[in-house]
Amino acid sequence: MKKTIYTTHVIFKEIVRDKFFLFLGLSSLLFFLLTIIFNEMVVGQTAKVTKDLTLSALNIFPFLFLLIYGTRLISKEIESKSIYTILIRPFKRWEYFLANLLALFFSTIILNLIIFLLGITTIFIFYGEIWIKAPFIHLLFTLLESLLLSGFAVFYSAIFSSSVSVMLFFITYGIGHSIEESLKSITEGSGVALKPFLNIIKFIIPNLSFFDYKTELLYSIKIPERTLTLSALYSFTYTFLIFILAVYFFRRKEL
Amino acid sequence: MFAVEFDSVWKIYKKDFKQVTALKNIILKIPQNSIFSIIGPNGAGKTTALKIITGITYPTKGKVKVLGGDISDSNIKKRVGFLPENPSFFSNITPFEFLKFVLYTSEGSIEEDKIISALNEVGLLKEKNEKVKKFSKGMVQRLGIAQAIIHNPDLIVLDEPFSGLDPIAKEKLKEIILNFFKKGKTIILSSHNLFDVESLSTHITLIKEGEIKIGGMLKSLQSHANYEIEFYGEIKSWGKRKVKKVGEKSIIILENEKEFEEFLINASDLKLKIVSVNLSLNNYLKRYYQ
Repeated sequence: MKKTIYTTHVIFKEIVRDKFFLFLGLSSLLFFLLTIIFNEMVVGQTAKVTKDLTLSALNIFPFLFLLIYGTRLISKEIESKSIYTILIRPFKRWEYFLANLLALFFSTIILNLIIFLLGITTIFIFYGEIWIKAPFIHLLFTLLESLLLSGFAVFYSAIFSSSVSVMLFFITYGIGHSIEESLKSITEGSGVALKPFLNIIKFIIPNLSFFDYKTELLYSIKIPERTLTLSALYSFTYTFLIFILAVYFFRRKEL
Repeated sequence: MFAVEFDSVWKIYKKDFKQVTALKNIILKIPQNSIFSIIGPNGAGKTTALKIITGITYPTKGKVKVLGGDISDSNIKKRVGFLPENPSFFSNITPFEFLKFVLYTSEGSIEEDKIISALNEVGLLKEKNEKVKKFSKGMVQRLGIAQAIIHNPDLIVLDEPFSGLDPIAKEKLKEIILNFFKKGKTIILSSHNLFDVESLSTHITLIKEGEIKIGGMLKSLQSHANYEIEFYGEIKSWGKRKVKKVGEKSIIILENEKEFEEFLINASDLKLKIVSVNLSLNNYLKRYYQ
C-alpha cells in the first residue's frame, strides 16, 4: 500500500504542475473578478448572483478539469509509452490504476478548495457577508460527484483512446445530470408495473442529481439530514464498482 | 539456472481487427551473466519478447521464467531493470524525483547517494532538478538508462539502448553494460543495428517475423564472420571478390577463414600492404534481414 501512496504522490505532482491545472486555477480567479465587475456594472450590488455563480463554478471547473485532463490521464501515458517505465516497477496494474484515481481526485479537491475559498472571500470582501455553510455543503456534494466522475474519467482513459474518452465522459455527464428529470417524465406517463424497474434504473445509470442541491442551498431550503450520507454511499459504491470493472479490463489491455 | 527461459512462447494480438502473430513458438534460454543481444529488422518481434520478459505484456501460449520465477511476482520484478525503446516519463517531474520513485517502489527506501551516483553516471547531475519535458531525446534516453540500473538489478533489459545517443554517450553506455556484466549480472539488449551490439555481446540471437532464425554464442557465430580487409595496393578484384576503393585505400570483404589465409599468402606477391582486418557478422546476418 505504501508504494501505491508514493505513486499517487508522484502522479499528483505531475497533475498539479501541469499548465492546464494552473490555467484552470487562474481562470477561476478571473471568473470571480469578472463576476464582480459584471455585478457592479449591470446588476447592481447583489450578492445573490455572485453566490449563484460561486456554486456553479464549483461544478463547472472540476468538470472541465476532468473532461480535458482526467480523460487523458492514463491514455496519454499509454500513447507516449511512459506507462512502461511505471509498470516495470514491482506493483500490480490495479495499484497503478488506484494511484491514478486517487491522484486525480486529490487534484479536483485542490481545485474545488481554490474555488470555494475564492467564492467566500469575494462575498466577504465585496458584500461584507460571511457566507460559509451553504458553499461548504455544496463543496461536499461536489467532491462526492468529483470522486464518481474521477472514476469514470480514469476508467475511460485506461480503456479507450483520448478522443473516445472525452466523448464518453461528456455523454456520461450529460446523462448523469438529466436522468432524474427524464425518468420522472417517463414514470408519470407509464403504468404502475414499470415504476419499480425505473427506480432501479435511477441508481444503475450514473445519477448525478444525487449531488445537485444547489437550488436548495441558494434559497435556504432544508435538505434532509441523511441526504449527504446517502449521496456519499452512492458515490463510494459506484466508484468502487467502476474501479473493479476498470481493473478487469485494464489487466487484459495490450500495452 | 538461466536468467530467462522461453518455453514454446506465442504472442498473438489484435491490431486493426486483424490477428497479428508477433512471436511464433519461441524456445530460448538466456544464460545468467551474459550479454545477450536480440537483433532483427524492425517489426521482427524483439520488443514483444522484451515486453514479455519484463511483464508489460503476457504470452498468448507458452511459459516464461524470469530469474527462476514468474515476472508478476514483486520479488522477481524488483530484480529487473528495463529501458523501453524511446523511453518517455512524466513530463512535469524532475529526474531526481523520478529516481526517488524508482528506488522507493523497488527497495522501499530512498538513498539519495544512489540517485546522485546514477545521475552522475549518465551525465544528468546538473539537470537533476529540471523538469523532464525540457529534455532532449538523448537526455531522456540517459534518464531511461539511469532508472533501469539505479536499483542494481540482476537482470537488465535494454530495448534499442543506443538509439538517440551521441558517440560519447554510446561508449559510456557500453562501459556501464560491461561493468554490470563483470559484476555477474545478465544484460539483454535488442537492436536493429548489429554494429552497436556485436562488440559487446556474449550471445546473439536473430529474430525475424516472430521466429528465431539463428542464435548462439558469439564465438560459435564468428566462424561465419566476414573478414573486412583494408589495404594499400593496385588490384581491382581478387578471385571472385571485388575490391572497393576508398580514397587511397582499398577494401575487400572475404567470406571465411580459408579465403582470408589464401589472401594473406598472396598479399606479398601482389605487393599489397594490409592496414587492418576486421571480423564482422554483419554480412552473414544481413541475409536474414532480407
